[in-house]
Amino acid sequence: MKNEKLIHAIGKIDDDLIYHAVNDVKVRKKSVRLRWVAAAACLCIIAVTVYSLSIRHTPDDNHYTDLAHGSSLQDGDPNGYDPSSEIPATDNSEVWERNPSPVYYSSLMFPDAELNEDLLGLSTSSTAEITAFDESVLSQDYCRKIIEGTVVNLYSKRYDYDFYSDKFGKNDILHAMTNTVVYEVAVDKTWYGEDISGKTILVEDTTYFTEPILAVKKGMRYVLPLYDCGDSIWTVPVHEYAGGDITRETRYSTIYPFHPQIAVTNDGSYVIPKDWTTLTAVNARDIIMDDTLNGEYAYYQDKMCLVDADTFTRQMFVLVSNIE
Amino acid sequence: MNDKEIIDLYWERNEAAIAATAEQYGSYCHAISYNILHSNEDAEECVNDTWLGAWKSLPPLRPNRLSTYLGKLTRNLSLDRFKRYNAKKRGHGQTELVLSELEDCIPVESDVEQSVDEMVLAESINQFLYAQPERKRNIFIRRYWYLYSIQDIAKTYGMSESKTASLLFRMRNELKVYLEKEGITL
Repeated sequence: MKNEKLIHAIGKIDDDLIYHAVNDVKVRKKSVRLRWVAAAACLCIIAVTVYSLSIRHTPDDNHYTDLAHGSSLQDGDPNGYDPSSEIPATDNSEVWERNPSPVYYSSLMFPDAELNEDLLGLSTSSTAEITAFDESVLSQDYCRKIIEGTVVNLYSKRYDYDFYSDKFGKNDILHAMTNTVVYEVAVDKTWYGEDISGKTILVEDTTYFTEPILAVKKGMRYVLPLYDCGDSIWTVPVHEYAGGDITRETRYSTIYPFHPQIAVTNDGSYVIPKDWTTLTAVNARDIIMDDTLNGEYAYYQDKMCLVDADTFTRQMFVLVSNIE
Repeated sequence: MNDKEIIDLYWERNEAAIAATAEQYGSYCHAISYNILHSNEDAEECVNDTWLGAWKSLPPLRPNRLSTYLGKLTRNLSLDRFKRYNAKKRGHGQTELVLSELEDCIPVESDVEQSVDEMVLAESINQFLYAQPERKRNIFIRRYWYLYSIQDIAKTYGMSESKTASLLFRMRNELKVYLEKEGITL
């Protein structure tokens, strides 16, 4: 029966998932060291808050178009600021509602990028409307690295393989086909995990975010959370494997490839989907997408924001400190 | 005694390994089996079979996490026993309920897709679960891996039973949609 197959398949899920499901209360206890790190992070945020309040009338060198006032912040007009909007809040929705300075996506400057249009035809597996991203997936057991680097190449790879199955007859050979997208990333910063800065690595995903504006492109710079996906494209048991290519290009895969990845602008700011709640909790400015995003990706039309480099660094520190 | 020391005893073929395992993981495995069979006597037998299975498989295996290795053995043995009992109409406990709930997750079949094997399916379920918030994920696993009753889960998380049932209902539907999008049929 199909539900029996399902219950047996659920029986084969990862040991870590099984273990943590009944040890989750204990897992939440933070170490004393972690508490100190968290406390230090809070102090940093408070210090920055005080600092930003003290300089709120000082024009900065921001080059983005200030939509709230129809002028550019570049011209240094102090009247272009609404002081109340500069008060960082810890609650996202509050920040988004109170921050009056959204920016147009078209005003952001990115490196020259190349979209691989062949990849847009690939089918995608899911969207955030189905299984929303949540930072809690970044556990120590799952998340291997968070890297920042430039995508120097990207291409698709097709796997054709056969496996034995008793579904239609004893030891029948069934054929399977899977497409992946491979990114070659020149890493220059490692936010989490063993430092691999200076190296070029491959990242391979079975899903590609096929919206042309927000898709991962060659030449662009991204922040990517990675997990270890193993050697094989599917975890087919040795005795069921009947031939074909199942060896992955790399063990690294993106955690949650269903939403836009964090992109870095030319001036080092970060374009982040709002489901990164910690990264977008402070000083996040709404991004207005000039063009309508395609199809199901319209979900992200009003869910992207811009965070400056200093804030991103602080918030990433908080996020990484809380990975358990 | 830690897992490594217990596994070393198995590798030395020292029978003290069984006693150490029973002391450390007896109640854990009993709970898994009892949730499936709802009978202390049957659960006890399954747990004893688990120790036997461990004795036969360690060595050559050296599992990273002994608890879940033993838990999987117990779960499989208990589900097999449930199946035998169910054929004789002796089934009870959470298993029938869980099986009927899992009907909700079965993707709609299409002509072009082929059925996938259990490991492929398990990998897809892994990916689905890793994309879930921790709390929702753990509630799902407690229900469909450990076969805890909705009442027990609600109590553990301080939620109402109806809220727990509705959360699980939504997750089953999400899993169904996810499997369909992955092109998986059963």
